[in-house]
Amino acid sequence: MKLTVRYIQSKGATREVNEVVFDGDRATIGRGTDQTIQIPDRRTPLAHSWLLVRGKNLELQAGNSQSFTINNQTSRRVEMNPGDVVDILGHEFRVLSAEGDSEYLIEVEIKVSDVDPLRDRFKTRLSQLNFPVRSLSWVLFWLIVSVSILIPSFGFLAGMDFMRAAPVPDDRQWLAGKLHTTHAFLSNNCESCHAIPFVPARDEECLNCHLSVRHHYDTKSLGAHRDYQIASDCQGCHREHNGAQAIVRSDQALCSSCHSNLADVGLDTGKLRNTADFLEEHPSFMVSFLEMQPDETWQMQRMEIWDDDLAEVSNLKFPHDVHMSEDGIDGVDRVVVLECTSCHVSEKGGLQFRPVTMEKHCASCHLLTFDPETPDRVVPHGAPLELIRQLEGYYAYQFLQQQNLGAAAQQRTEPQKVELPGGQREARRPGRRRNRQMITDLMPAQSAGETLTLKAKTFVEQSVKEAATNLFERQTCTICHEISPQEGEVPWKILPVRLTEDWFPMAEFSHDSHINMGCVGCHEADTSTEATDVLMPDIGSCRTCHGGEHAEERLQSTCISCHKFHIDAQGPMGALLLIDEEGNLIDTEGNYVDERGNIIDEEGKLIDTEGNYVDERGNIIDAEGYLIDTDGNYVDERGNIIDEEGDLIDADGNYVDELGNIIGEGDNLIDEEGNLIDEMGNLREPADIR
Amino acid sequence: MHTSFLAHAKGRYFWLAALLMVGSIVIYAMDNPTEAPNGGTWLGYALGTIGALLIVWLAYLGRRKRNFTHGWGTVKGWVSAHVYLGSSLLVVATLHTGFQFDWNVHTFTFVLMCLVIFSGLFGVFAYRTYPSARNDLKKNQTLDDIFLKVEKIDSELARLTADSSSDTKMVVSSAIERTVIGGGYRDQLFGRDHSSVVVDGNVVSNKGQQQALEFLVEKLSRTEGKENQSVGEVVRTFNTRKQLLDIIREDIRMQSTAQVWLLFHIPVTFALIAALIAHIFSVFVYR
Repeated sequence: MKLTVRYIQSKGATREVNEVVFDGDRATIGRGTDQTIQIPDRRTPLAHSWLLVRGKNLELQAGNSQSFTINNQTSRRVEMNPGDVVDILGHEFRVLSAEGDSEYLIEVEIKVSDVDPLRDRFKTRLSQLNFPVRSLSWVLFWLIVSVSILIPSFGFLAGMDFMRAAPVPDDRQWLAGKLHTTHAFLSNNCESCHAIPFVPARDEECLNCHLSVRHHYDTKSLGAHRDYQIASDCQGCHREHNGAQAIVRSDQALCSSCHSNLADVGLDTGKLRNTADFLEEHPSFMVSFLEMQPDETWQMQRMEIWDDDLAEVSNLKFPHDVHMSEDGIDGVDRVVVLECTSCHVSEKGGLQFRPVTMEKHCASCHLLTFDPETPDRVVPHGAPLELIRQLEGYYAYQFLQQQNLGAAAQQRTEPQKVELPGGQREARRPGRRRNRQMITDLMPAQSAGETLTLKAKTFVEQSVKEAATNLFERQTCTICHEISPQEGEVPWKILPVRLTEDWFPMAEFSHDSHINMGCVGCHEADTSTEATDVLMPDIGSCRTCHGGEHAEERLQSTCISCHKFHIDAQGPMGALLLIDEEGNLIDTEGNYVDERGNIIDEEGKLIDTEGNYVDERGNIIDAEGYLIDTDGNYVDERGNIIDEEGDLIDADGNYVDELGNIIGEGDNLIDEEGNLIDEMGNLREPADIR
Repeated sequence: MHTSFLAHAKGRYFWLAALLMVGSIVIYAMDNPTEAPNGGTWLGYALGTIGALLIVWLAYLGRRKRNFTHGWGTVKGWVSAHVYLGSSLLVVATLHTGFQFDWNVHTFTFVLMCLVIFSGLFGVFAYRTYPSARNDLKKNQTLDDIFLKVEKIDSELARLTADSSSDTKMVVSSAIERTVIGGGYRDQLFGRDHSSVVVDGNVVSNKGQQQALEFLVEKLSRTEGKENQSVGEVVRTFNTRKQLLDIIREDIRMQSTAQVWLLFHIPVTFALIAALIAHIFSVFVYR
């Protein structure tokens, strides 16, 4: 399309004419500066209409909701022919016959009445764009309040787990810091600790799982509801939501706040000395050891480790130095070099050592033989009487054997003759007495029954006495055991032996973490000659390496490096002591209880906290066996109230009979479905009713 | 005597904010909590309370500034305090977190706060540089003055081109008519120019009046004598017009930049206040 546009612009008296040739498919008309024919009038839309060629003719089309008049007729699309006059909002478009190269010619007269000041035609200020700051602010405000407060809070009504399962914002966004790894499984279960909104996590919540945690001191004697000085509840010491950081406090101040001066805080029982810092102010160690009482029970004693009177009277004889000789000691058939670990084997974790026993650790060298003839026979390591009985049986058998063997036995009993240069010498097996009576000497040729028995008895008695005396007094038992004479069948008493196993019961020391150190560095066993020596180290030994919390040239150790806060021997913190294997609940005093805390006595009856017998529903059972509910009414087993006349009234206020049937008018009975029934429960016809 | 809002009252609020920041850092460093530092220690609660009160007071500037004469102090003083104490919040709030961050409503609040503060810092930069820059640009004229000058030049050009050839006339008049100034957000902020001109019957871009000028200069090179002189004058006048338009566009750009950060700063402040309420609510509902 080749279109000539002739612009005619009148400005007052002047009249400007400009001609422009447009060559293209479509000539747009409007106020916009990108329009082919621009009408700089404020009332004109930016894009109003356009001209194009259809067939051979020029067509004018108006845009959406626009229109023009052509020859005084309103139109939206029209074919333009020479002579047509189009009016667009007061501006005239006259179609004329084409001139020159162009196919079409249009005269445009812009009737400019008012020109806005240049500035007002444009948006030159950001504020003119009217950004909706206020609405956006409130939208964001309420959006966040809804998503982060209102919607999750609905979980307090509908249940938080419901919200968490649903695809809506829930309380997990409120998690203020990750939980410790041990509690991480509770991350999606806030109410397991935060049971009541706005109430700090209570001890009850902690104790729901930590059933067996114990107090630090005897709260019964030192004050039933005494707060620990440093905190009054679990949360005071144990802080969660700090991720992998330890929940357990390890700082010294936790302990020294009381222990630096127990008298000041009113907790001085006289049993503990004050302490604050391991290096600066920790008392020297006291050891606990077992001491036998006159009645042969063992009691724990405590004494300062540097006390010269300290001795472990275990009634065992044992020199460590002999056994630990570097060159070894004589074993049964060879020299044995013993290490500490030959006898002292630690339990897993290194906190305790497995008990040292005769059978495991001593018997391999210290054989309880008693007859050189039979070196494989040993007496049991047990009660002396048992030992005697075994010997008696042994020698009785020996007697019988020698009866049978006769000459052969006789030969064996003669001393062996050893051929040696320079003459014969009587060789003797060690342990046999020269003037031992020969069996054959005792036996006359004839063997009368009674005489034989007597001889047998004498033989056994004498042999046993000899062997036992040997064992107890000279060779075997007395080597390790303290033996004292006593009256009775067995004239020897072995004093009971108890070895102390836990020397420092108030502390936990792991040998595993000290495994790279030599044993004798702390335990002077290699120079110990007596079993009564106490080989525990004093605090100086530890202080070689360990210091207090802020030690500079030592390992920094705090109180809980060795000591515990919650002490097993003290009372439980929770009301529940434990749940036994059968699932029974047990309270602090060892009573069986139900979930409500009612004690279950031996007969299975329930007793509430005030001492009344109650039934499962909590109704009190009075002395005559009547049930009284919480409101004070007499009730029957079903909970129906019994009024003064003895009538039963159910929860809805109806009179009922013992079976629960409602008593209607005229004493008629009505069952649950509303049918009339007789006393037997049979349905009744209305006609049967009086 | 005008003092900048940053130097108001001898920088009183700078010192106050510096004291607050240094004090918080010193106390945080000296504190030895028995648990890891977090918003729930006594120091955490103290810093959190200070921070929350500060946030509410900082937001109140929005109301204070609407009553210029009424209220305590001057608006300029308020702005000075707002800027310095708002910046100190970065330190106070960060110490309050104990440097514990995670995907939750609490860190969300912190992030919103940082966005508000950083956008505000941009505002400080804008308010410090643009007013004087605009003044230098317009050489003590107002924008209206410059617009009027442009209008005058427009009519001058109409007069000068009355006797010119039709193509020159078309170019000059269409350049004038199709000059676009300002516009939408991006137009104002980036100083975009959507002006166009009709050259050889086609509507083409006239960004910076470049196309029209090129046409005129090229026309000038082809003319001689008297025509050359008159075209030359047209060119010179047109060039002056172009320069004025450049000044206007640059002024609009600076002015809009100095305002646009507020369109972010204020809505995000309200989002922050909502998140702050959620943060405080949630740490108390699950204590």
